[in-house]
Amino acid sequence: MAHRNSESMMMSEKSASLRSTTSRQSADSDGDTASATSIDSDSQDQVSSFSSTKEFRCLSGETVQSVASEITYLCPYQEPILGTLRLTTYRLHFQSTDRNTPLVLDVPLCVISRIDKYGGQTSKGDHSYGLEIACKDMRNLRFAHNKQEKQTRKELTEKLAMWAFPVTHKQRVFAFKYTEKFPENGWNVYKPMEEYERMGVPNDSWRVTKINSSFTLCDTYPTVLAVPAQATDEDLKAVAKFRSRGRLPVLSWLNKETQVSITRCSQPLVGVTTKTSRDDENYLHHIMEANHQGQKLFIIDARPKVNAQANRAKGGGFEDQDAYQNVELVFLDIHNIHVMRESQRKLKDICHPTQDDHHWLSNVESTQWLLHIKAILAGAFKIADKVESHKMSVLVHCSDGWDRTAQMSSLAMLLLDPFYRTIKGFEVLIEKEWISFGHKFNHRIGHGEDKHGDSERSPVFLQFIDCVWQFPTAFEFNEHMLITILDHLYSCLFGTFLGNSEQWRQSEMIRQETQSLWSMINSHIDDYKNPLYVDYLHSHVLYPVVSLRRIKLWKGYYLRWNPKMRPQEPISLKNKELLLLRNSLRDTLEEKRSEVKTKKRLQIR
Amino acid sequence: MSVKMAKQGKPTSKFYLDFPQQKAEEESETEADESFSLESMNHANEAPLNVVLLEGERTVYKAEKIIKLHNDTSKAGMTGNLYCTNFRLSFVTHSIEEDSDECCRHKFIGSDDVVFSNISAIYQVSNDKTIKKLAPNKKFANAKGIHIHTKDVGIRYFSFELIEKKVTSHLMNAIQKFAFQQRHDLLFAHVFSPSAGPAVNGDNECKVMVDEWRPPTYSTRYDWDKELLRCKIQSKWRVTSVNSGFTISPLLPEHFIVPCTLDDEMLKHAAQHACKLPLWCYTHDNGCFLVSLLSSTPESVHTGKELLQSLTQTQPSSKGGTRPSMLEFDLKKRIPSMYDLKASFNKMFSICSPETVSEFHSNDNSIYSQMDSSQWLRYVAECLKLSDEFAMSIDRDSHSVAIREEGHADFTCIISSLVQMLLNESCRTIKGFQNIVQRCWVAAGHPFCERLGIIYTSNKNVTPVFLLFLDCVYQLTVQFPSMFEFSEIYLISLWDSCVTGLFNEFLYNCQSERFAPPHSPPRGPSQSVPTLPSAWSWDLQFGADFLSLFRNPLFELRLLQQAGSFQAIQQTRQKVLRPNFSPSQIDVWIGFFYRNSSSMQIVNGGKPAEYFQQCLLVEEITELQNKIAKLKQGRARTSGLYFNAHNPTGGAMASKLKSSYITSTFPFNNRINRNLSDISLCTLLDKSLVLSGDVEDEECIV
Repeated sequence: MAHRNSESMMMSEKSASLRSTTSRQSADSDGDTASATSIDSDSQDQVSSFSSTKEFRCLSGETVQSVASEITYLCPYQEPILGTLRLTTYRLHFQSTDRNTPLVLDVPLCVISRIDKYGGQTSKGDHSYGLEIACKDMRNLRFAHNKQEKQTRKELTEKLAMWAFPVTHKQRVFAFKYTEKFPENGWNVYKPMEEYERMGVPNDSWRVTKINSSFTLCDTYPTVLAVPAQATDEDLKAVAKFRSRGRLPVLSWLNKETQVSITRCSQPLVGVTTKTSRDDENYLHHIMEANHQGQKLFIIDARPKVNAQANRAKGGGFEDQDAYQNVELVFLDIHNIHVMRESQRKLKDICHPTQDDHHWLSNVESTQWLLHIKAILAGAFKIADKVESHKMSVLVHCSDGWDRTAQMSSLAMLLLDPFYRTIKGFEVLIEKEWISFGHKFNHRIGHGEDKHGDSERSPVFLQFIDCVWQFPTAFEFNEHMLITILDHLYSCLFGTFLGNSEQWRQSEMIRQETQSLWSMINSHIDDYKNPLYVDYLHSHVLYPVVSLRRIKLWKGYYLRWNPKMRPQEPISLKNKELLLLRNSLRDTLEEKRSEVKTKKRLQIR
Repeated sequence: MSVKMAKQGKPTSKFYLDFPQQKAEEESETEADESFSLESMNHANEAPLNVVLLEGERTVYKAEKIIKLHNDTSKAGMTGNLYCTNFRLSFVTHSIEEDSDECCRHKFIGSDDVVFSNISAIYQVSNDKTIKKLAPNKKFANAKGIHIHTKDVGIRYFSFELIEKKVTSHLMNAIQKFAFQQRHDLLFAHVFSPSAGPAVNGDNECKVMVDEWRPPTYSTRYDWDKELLRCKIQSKWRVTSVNSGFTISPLLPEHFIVPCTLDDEMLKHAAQHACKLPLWCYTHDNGCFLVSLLSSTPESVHTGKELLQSLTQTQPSSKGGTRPSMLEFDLKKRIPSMYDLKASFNKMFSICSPETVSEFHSNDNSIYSQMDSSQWLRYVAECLKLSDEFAMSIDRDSHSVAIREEGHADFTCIISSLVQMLLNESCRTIKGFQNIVQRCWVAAGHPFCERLGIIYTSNKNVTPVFLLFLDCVYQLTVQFPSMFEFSEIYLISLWDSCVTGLFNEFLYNCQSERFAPPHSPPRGPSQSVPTLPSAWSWDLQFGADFLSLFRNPLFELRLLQQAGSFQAIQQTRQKVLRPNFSPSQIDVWIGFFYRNSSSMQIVNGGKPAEYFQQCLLVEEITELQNKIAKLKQGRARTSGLYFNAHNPTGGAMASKLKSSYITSTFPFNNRINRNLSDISLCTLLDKSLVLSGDVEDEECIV
């Protein structure tokens, strides 16, 4: 529990009673009793994270760099709070000094995307001089300095920039210094060979190749690949040449029973001259033939058609249906990383710090965030439907095959295969489809870099997690696990989401020198279990209702910084109580039974 | 896709039929696409299609070969007989699928029936495909079919393609006559005499449970006296019978509770001067009270000074001996007009139940702004906000509250009920909740007949005020999932009871009408009031299995915690609920508004799946406790939930859970329409996908 950076904001009872006072005339100034009735502490986790941070404790490997007292935190939900700001090698930690407003802020430095100074020596008014910190996890923080101590701000800002943007300063992120030992080793969760075996590969139609063991075939692919058995190594090399960045079609998922497959790749290098490749055509034919029911291979291009066409000018493009035998090409209309980034920016605007009550629904719509989520889910649904109902193998690509393609393949696999809906399975899915196949986490998140405006950044992985959240009862894991994953996507406490490719991770010795997020999660696995999950209820294919009437904004994540928006009686907690009660009763029953048995035995004697 | 169970027993087949061009002379525009896929039966060895009539029900007209379409645009449907009775339109077909579980059915209203009082509008489809709204005195020739909009947010589609003009005309006449009933005394409710029906296992237990929940009717002085004593408020409040025989007001109940400081003369005087009269609603622990000021006549506008003074005197005095001021609040400034509320609901209807599946998808992307413009959620939020303000005023600030509005008792009913539910735990049980509905809605004179549109007037007053209340309560159950004894299914069933048009509680505008129904011949003093069945007799409508769905498993958990058998992770210290009324925290009541939408149905998913998992856990907990108790030589109890060990279907539950038994619309419309949902999903994505592979496998195409 010590490694959670989320929900670190422990609101006092008084501040909690802020719920609704904004719209109520009467002030809560006196209301001790009243506020006691509306206590907002929403989980035991929060309480414990508060009590554990009451006396600040470093993680193993973490050291305090600077301590500034008399700093004011300008909380958007209550009065400014005076306290102490600590800067460590891992985080920014604020603790209020006023006992009446106990508040702890715990922000891992890598979550920070931007640091701005505001106000100068001449600025008038209280709290007009300080720092504004924009975070990747949908919040902004403002700290005000006492004007007399201008030195502190300068010093703090410099040190903060130094530690928050280690990559910019040619340093390594904190994950390399983190020395915690976990009982479970998350690096063992995903073993490619085991995963292929689970799907029945190798078999007559598919083989596993290590042709890429030194990353010469494709430098953004993993070392172990599953390819059609009929394709020779020479074929693979030829096909890789016709695909953008050498990302040739390889197996993502295979239905053991039906042999219907999902494969992934990047766009073909068609270009303006409409190049074709005999090798690529044959290769796709092999993929189609590996599935005996299929008369056709279904190619899904996740991009809007216009974008795919525009890519031809840059040498890319899409498959010419006349050149390939028995293929059907469909475009999904999922927009590119820039559109998604803009949508996320708008989302942050409407969610933080407060929501506009009068136009809430219209504002949500105007961000288009949910529309993008819908498009992604619709694409995944389409793949699942082709595979399950039509027994057609599907090949997925976008431009480079590491953003939208990863979304498509991983979500479709989640819909089709119940294994991925377990905690272990979900970890495997992320390790395989996202990490090993080269989703560029470094670029998309911008780990440790002082480039907040970088156009490479995009919430592609966040969208994937958001899509997963849309099925509240179907998974072995709970919402808390999804939020934990997202928190550590940004935190750089673990090595899991570092790097753009396997090649880089190997050269940086990530597995040897950092901890895996799954080590932490699997060591506290009960915290991440969905109490209402039973495997037999979810052995079927999931078909999402692809409608905005069902797709919801993930308030538990996007609105979580606002104490007013937290559920007062979280249903997840109630469900957990059910489970705990049952387990304790099971134990009691066993105890009683053995008691009775021993009694009987004694009587017989 | 693990959707459909293998059908057992009866040989049912679905076939796709090219519709014969039998009426080619009059329908030259009939195109090739006029082919219907019909589900039909091998009629040879089947019993004739008959409707099972209720006591007092009679068939007015019967039409054969009516097609019930799955939706407007689909060519998929079922053929069967349509019976127009004096109570409902009953569609009877051979191809009723077996997969909707017996236990989840209404005892006498079939899933293909439309009760007349549930109809909000009928649209006639004419030959030229125009759609016209029917009215009692408006007739259109050449009906090709009808769309029936219902008050439970659904649309039924019937096609008359296969029947003759003459039959259509007779049928339409019959429908028109009963769908627009303009006389209260001709309502089916007055001839309906409910019989217990065939005895079912568990009926007795069920009756005991239902009787336990039953509230007093508040039509006698005795009921009010009892309530006065139950609430221990007799030192400051008294029951007045000043309106006995409805002499001073036809709108108010004969008996009600007023401050002791108000004598009957003052009340009479106030009523004569068109003043509003106070009706006690609630007294809190701290002595502060909630009163609604209700009109004694339609003309009552103001509140008399004397009345207010006496109310203020009833306030508990604070320590210093001074009485805090009382908050007298006119809701007018904060609530929508009936017109706006009605428009809002209509908008919700069209958003949630679009005429066609293509419409469902075409307006999907703007659904959030449409919801926004409907204002419905905003009204829900405002009701919660007002209630929270008053609850705080009473609980925290020790100011009593008197609320009033213009005209009838509408929002006063909503707000006074919600405030009580926020403040008092006992109002969150089924018994307590029904007591509130009976006292603050039925007895206080909420004009149910008008608002629900039980009899056809010009329709202008039909506004689902009570539904808005149920939605508010639903939001509370979402925000406080373990605080309420009842489930979402209970709330939905309550609304269904309102629009069934059979129950005493929801048929009249006020107590005086309940005593002397409009249009009925005057009764002599010796004649007793004919009592219609009560909605609170839930066992009339549902079996024990269904009633167990009314319970909330998390409330059972709370009871266990209160009994001390288990520690909660999070101790909820609050007794008074503080709802969150921020619009971002109020979601559409999907279980209600979308329950008739097949496009929204999730097989094996949605809230019911969650509900059942909770029930299973609570059931196991109870069983474990029993086993432990047995070992300790104690006694056993049952959970009363759906998966109760004594539930005859309980044992088979595991296999049901594995199957597609539970959908997101369970237990309502649980029948899965796979064909349809496939099509609807596919139209969104790919037109070429109209029939997915395994549909063809299962069904032969003729």
